Amino acid sequence: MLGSKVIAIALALLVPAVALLRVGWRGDTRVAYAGWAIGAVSLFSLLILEGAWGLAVGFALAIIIALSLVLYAAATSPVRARRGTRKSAIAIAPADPAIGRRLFVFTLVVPVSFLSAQWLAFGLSAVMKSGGPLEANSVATAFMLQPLVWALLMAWQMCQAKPSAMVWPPAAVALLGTLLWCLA
Amino acid sequence: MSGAKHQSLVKRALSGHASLGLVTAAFVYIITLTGTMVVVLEKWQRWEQPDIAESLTLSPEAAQAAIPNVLDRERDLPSTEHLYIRMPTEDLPRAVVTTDNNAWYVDNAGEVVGREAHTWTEFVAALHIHLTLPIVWGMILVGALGVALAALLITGVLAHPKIFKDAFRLRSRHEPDLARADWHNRLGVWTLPFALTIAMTGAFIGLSYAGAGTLAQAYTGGDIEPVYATIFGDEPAHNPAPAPMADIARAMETVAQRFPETVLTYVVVHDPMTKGQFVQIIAEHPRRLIYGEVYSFDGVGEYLGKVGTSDGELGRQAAASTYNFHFGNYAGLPVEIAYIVFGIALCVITSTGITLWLRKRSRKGLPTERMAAVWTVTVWGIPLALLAMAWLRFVGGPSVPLVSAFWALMLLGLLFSVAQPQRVGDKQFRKAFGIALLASAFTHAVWFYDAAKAVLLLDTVLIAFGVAAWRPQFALRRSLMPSISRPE
Repeated sequence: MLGSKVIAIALALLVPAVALLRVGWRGDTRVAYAGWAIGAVSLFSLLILEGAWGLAVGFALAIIIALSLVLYAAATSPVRARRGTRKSAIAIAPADPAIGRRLFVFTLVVPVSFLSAQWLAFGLSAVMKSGGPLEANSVATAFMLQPLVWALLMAWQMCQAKPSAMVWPPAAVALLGTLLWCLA
Repeated sequence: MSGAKHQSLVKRALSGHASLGLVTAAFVYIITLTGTMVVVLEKWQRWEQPDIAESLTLSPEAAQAAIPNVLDRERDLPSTEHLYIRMPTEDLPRAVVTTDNNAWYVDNAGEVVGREAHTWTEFVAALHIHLTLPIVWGMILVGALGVALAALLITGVLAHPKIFKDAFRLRSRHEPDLARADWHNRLGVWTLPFALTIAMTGAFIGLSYAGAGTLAQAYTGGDIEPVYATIFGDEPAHNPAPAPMADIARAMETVAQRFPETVLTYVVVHDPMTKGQFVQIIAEHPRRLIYGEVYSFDGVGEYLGKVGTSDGELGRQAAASTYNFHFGNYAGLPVEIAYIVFGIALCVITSTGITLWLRKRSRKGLPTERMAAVWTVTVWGIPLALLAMAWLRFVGGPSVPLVSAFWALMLLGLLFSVAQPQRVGDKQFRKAFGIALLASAFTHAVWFYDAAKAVLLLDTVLIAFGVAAWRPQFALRRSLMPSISRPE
């Protein structure tokens, strides 16, 4: 019963936390920092009290409060005159589709990075189980690390200026995977 | 120098964000839309079959009695190797007994009261989980799209240097492009924790097949079951000699006595009516993200132990937490509603993202009309087609091939948009969807007027959504609803 009350208080704290963040936004930064601090205390309390469940519920509530404030901003946004549709006076012929380059990028970002991330996850899993039988921690780590590393690789590659630079991120990750596998 | 580098990173991130978005947007949209619906899967199941007798309880004796009643219905079918009893809950107050052949609703005395036939609900779930492709390949593809969504979110943040400066600014009544960009960015920023969570947990669920396959090739001679058994537990050796049905009533009573804080959700009998039969009871633990703990029993109902998803190794607990965390089923209706709001926001983010790209392309004088029409059919045509499938299910019965009908309808719509782009209008499609949703929910409510309150409440919510899509000014101020899917 007491636990439920403390959880309710921790959740309720998220309302002033996000509100202070809003008040301090583009205003007194100390108010915004206070909002961040109260939010952090609330989420940390929920984590301590109820573990991952508490943190998940806290985040869901905080996002809903923030979205409400954003929707309020949308509803009270001042009306501005709308310009006509800006369109180019001339029609430009579509650029060269560069199929070969696109296929090269796709290959690097999808199958190559997938395999590279898989190899790193496999290497870390091998280190964790260190020659023993398969067990939950190493298997779950392999399952969870692969998509995480692949997503980071994909983002890293898509921020490169040219396709040839996209080769290095998966290569580096594959090398790290190989090192881990050798260690295992 | 560093400023130039920063600018360059922002530009490159924006370019990468756009490229990734273009390749994946349609699939991300369909998965997000159906995922938003699947958050309340059980409510859709009740909506699809509203005339089944409901009860919130199923006693151990009734559960035991339900088994022969169901097997009697299937005496002419091949014997089942697995038997599942889904216990009634507040979300789905119906007990369901599932065999390898069929699924049956049973009442609180264990009597069969109807066949489970929620084909449309299952179809919507299949679209979300594996895009109706063969299950393993479909789940891997959906997992890969989860990874792409996560990469989109990361590149989106990198491409947005004023992320905190603009945090609470949404210029909904400025010119449409600016309003659209603000909707895209603001919803994207504030739903970032949610979107990353569902992208990563979805990717984990889908891609675990690939990970398990790799580990199986390396350590278990290609057999995938021992890999999954490290997390979800394994089954004892099979003994096919005949035996009386397992004593599940005793097993259920044992769980209720030994673990009174838990709530029974499933009873599973492996190899029923054999000497090697094995009972597992899955019970939810309140205020936990795990789908439940798995308690094991032998054929006479003797307790053998638990798998350890509630208090075992951290990896086991984490893996068992991904499912409820992904689907928002861990804190009742409030969190489910929050997930639906976030899901709708992600649909808007996806839709506005492509529309912004189309507008930019149009401003450059590049041909855009066909692409814009295709995107309109994607954004409004998919929910319209889902609605058409619901009608098909109600009119044609549960055996109608919804998968092929849906994809055929979508293909026709896309071909039409390519052939006649000038006849595909964003507003017309939105209004058509709104009116169709409104009419469908109203018809459903009238037809099943004596259904449970929860079913009629869902109809009411659908009517509200229909009004919002048809006449947004009734539900929201007009200025809040810029055209999200089609450039003017």
